[in-house]
Order: sequence, then C-alpha cells, then structure tokens
Amino acid sequence: MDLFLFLLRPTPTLWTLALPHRTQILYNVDIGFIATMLRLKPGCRVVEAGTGSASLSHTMARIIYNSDSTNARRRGHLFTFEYHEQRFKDAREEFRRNGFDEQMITITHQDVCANGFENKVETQEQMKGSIDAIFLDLPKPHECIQNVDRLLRKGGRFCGFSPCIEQIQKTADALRKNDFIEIRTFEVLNKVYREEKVNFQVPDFTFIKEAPQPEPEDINMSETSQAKPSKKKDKNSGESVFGPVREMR
Amino acid sequence: MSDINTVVLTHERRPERIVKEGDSVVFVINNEPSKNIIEQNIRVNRKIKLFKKNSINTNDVIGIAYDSFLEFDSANNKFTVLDKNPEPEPTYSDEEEVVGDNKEIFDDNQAQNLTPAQIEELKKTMSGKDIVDHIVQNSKSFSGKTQFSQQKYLKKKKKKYMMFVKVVEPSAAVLCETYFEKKSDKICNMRLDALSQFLVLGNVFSHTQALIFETCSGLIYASALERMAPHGKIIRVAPDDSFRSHLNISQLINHPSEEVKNNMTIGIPFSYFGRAKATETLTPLNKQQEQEKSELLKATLTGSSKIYMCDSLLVATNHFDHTLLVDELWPLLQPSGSFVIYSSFREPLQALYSKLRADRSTMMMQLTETWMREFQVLPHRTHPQMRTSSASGYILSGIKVIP
Repeated sequence: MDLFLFLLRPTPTLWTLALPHRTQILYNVDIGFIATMLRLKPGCRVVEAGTGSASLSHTMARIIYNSDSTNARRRGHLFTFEYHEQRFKDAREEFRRNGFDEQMITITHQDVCANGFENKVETQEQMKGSIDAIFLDLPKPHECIQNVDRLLRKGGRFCGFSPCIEQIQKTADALRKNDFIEIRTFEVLNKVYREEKVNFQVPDFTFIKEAPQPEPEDINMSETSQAKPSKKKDKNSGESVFGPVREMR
Repeated sequence: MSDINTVVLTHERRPERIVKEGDSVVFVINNEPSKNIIEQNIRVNRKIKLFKKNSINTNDVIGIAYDSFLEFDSANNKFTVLDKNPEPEPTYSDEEEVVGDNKEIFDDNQAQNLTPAQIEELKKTMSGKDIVDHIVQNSKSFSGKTQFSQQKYLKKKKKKYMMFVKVVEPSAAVLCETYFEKKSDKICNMRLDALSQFLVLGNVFSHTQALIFETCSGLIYASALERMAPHGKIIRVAPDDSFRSHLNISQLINHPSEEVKNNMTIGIPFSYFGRAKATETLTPLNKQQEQEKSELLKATLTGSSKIYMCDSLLVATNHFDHTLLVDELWPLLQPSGSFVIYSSFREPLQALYSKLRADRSTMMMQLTETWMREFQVLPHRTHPQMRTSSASGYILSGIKVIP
C-alpha cells in the first residue's frame, strides 16, 4: 500500500486540529463563534484566561495581529494567563515556535482569580479601560468579573466559556451585578455530512422469490484454507448520498 | 527573572467612538434584531422613524458615544442620553424562590382599571416610567402574580410606554443578525454562526490575499474587510453587469474607511477570465488600469505571475452554479490555500464535494452545517429560548492540494 504525506502550510484552524492536548481544547466551531461575538479584528487588545493548550489563543492572536508597529494605539495584543506552570511553559514555547513574539502575545504564569491581570508588560492600572475583549475559560469565572469590568473599555465585550450550566448562571449573575448589558448565552454545534455510495436495489414485483437455501456445511474444511468470496462493496459504484455523521460535536 | 526583553506597549486609553455626521448607525430597540433600524450616512436635522408614533431627531444622535442608550423625554420632546442601563435584569440576590402561582388569576380583561382613552391622556403629561407605575397601581391582578410574572408584565408595559433605543456602530455581525431577521434572502439566509464559521474555516486574516465571490449584498466582503484591514488584499470577482451593485452591507460599515477599502480591493469582472483565455488578440480595455488588471489576471492564470494568487477562496451564493464557479476560480487559489463555499442549499455543495473528491485536489474537505441555540439565563428561569432558527446554511470547506 502506498503511503503519502502532504505538507500543508500551517493555519490557526489546522493548528487547533493538530496541537498536542494538555487540556480539553476549544474547536473551530466555538472559536469562530467567539471571534465573531467578541468582534475581533486587527488591532484589538484582548485578555484571555486560562491559556490551556492555547488553541483559541492562536486564532485570536492571528486575527488581532496588526503590523502597525509605528502606531502603538493600533497595535493588537493578546494578554494570556495560565495558572499551571508546565502548561504555561509549553504554551510560551509554542507561541515562540509558531512565530508569535512578545510584541504580539504576553503570557503570564498567574491565577487571575486570586491575583488579577497584572503582568510584566502592563500594570492593571495601565490596562484599565483599554481592553477590547476578555475571554474566560476558568472553573470560577464569576470571581473575576469585577476585574474584567475595570479593564474593559466602554463597549468592550466579555465572553465566558463553561461546560456546566451552573457556572454560566453564576457568571451571568456576576455580569448583571456589574452592569453588563446584552448578556446572551449560546450553544453551537457542528454537524458534518459525509458522502457514501449506495446501490439501491431495484425492487422486483414480478417474480416470486424464495429465500435461498443455506449451504450444507462441510465439517472438514477449515476457515483459513478456503478463500471466502469477497463481499467488499465497491466504494466507487452507486449513487452518491449525503447523510450526517452520527455525532454533532 | 524575566527571560524576555521588556516590551513597552504604550497606548492611550481607547478613545470613545463618537457618532459623526456621515457615519452609518444602527438603532437597537428592545434587543430584538428584527426591530433594528439602520441609518446610512446620518445627517443633521433629519427625522428617523423608530417607533410607531415617534421619530428621533438626528441632532440628538450625532455627537454621542456609540453604545449609549437614549430615552424619549416627553417633557422636552427629545431623546436624551441615559447614564445607565434602562432595563437591568434581576440577579440571584434580588430573587427568592418562586412565591405564588397563577391558580387564582382569571384572564377576563377586567384587571386594568384605566381605559385605553385614559392612558392616552396620561401619555401627554407623564413620563413613560410614571405611566407604567400608574398602570401597575391600577391593576387588580398585579399583586397576585408571581414575581416572575410581575417582571414579565412590567417588561411588557415598559416596552409599550417607555421609548428607549441603543445606538450601535454597524459591524458585519450586527448587520448579519439584522438582515437575517428582516431580509434573510438578501444574505442567502446566512445566520451569524454560519458567517463566523465561514471566516474561520476560510482562514481570513490580515496580510493575506483573499478571493471573494458572493451574492450576499456585500456581507462577506464587509466581514473580510473587517478581519483584514488595513494590511490585506481582496480580489473581488463579480459578473460584469452587477459589478458595482449589491454591495449595500459593505457600504454600511464605518471602518475601514472608503480609502482603505479601495486600496485593499481589486475588482475583477467575469469577462476578464474570458479575456485571459481568448486565443485571438482583443481590443484593449478603455481604462489603462483595467487593461493592466486584465493582463495580470491572464499572467496569473497562465502561470507566469503569482500576483493574483490567493491564500483563501471565499464563495457565498445561492444564485450561481457552484461547481462552474469554483472550476473557473480554482486556479487562482494557492496550493495549501483554504476554500469555503457557502450555500443555503445542500445539493449544489454535494455535487461540488463529489467532483472535488473525484479530482483528489483537496485535503480535509468537509461539508458542515452549524446548529445554534440561544438560552435565557435568569435566576430560577434558565431555559433554551422558545424559538430557534433551524437553518444556518451549509459550508463546504477544505484545503487545496495538487493531486
């Protein structure tokens, strides 16, 4: 059998599918939706916690990348925080190897719920009122909302991602207490369709067909010595039909 | 110890974005996209109809910050800026467990003491908030309702008697939601989640060159401009006869500016593809710029130039044959480039899928549909929304390879 390999140019979407998982990651369905709802574009200043396996980080950083280094006000930047030391180191190394330098991404080893969003490059005071979007994928995002409120500019957007509805409820509550508006909650799923070739049998209404008699078994034949007639379907014959794959993820 | 060079990021606090004359503005009413009103090119001293019996004077809008709330002040007959959210939602600390139920409430239209005529009189003198209070006081059934029922009642009355509106800057996302609710066929029924998938699967980023063909009134063009400006190039392909039309949505976004949009875009009519393949010599085109473009296209298609080769192929249409389109545009897509083809119909994408598979010219090809559900999350009242749209459209995506 011939084996072959394709070398593809890396993109953030491919990276999400290929990266080594250190945590459960966000896939492109959620990433796309988050990027649109946060209104990400070149020049945005974004805060993210926790970095995790940096799946979302790569796409966000690529979207907000703006090479206008002469005008600092237009330069996009991602401040990302991870409280697990090894994951922090792995992500930092990945950013470096994937071509995101410190001008683009500042990753900090920190627990944002306990210690806020202070980092080496900007103090919280400097960040105050200047952040366009904040994304939290944490066990207790509701504990950070006051801080989030302080950092966001007017019209800035917050997004929280939680697998459990209880966390969503607590986060929504905290957002309301801090006068956030337009609080919406969504679930998005991807439905994939697959092509199959099917030969539809022509029903024969004219002849009486009897069920075929079972073949008499020869006890002396062993399975291996007798080549069974191949029953493999010819994959390329038949009508093309599309149906959804079993799971929506 | 810092093992990175200290990066100094200087920035000024983001200035508030202010409504300027000439901007396009979206008025959001009750957070219902179907009620959004879009005003293109806002000018002073005009009236815009927002409510059944009320218009807003543009002078009340120009000069205020985007994302502000405006409320109608009946005493002064104008809309004024509010300094806080006019409709704060309840939090858990406001709510105890549900008290009461609707066992004793009979709906016989007798609950309200005030007649419609009396309420009309009140409108002349009282503010919206006071009218609502008055109505609540005159309702016999109000105190018997559960607190959630009371909130729902208040919300309904506020909607009717208090007029407030949010002023929002148009973005592709807001425009997509608005059009999806009001005129979805103008955007080929592309729902917001489909648009968001389209952009990510198409790898639409700055510093790339994207080839766009769409019949979504400029929605895809606008989204790509937002994601790519100012460093990026868009080759926009369109039929000759509708080249300058059907771009409404891209004219409704304030950023990037017209100048940047023009710098970023190379428009190529269909006929240039025909010209590139013509064997006999053709008369040159009228404008020198157009002739240059035509020649560059030919050079790219014959392989002597890479100038119009694109990193992404973005096609979104319900009106043209997808297979024939992609056949023609495919040579302009770089190998290892991404393609996304959107249609609200699955059959043409299935045909294209089968063809591309047979050609073995793609990797990671997928035919997908996104499913989206919105939830109401309120204390003791968290549940999926009653109405959910069933169709977001279909996307065929993948990566081009040389077989």
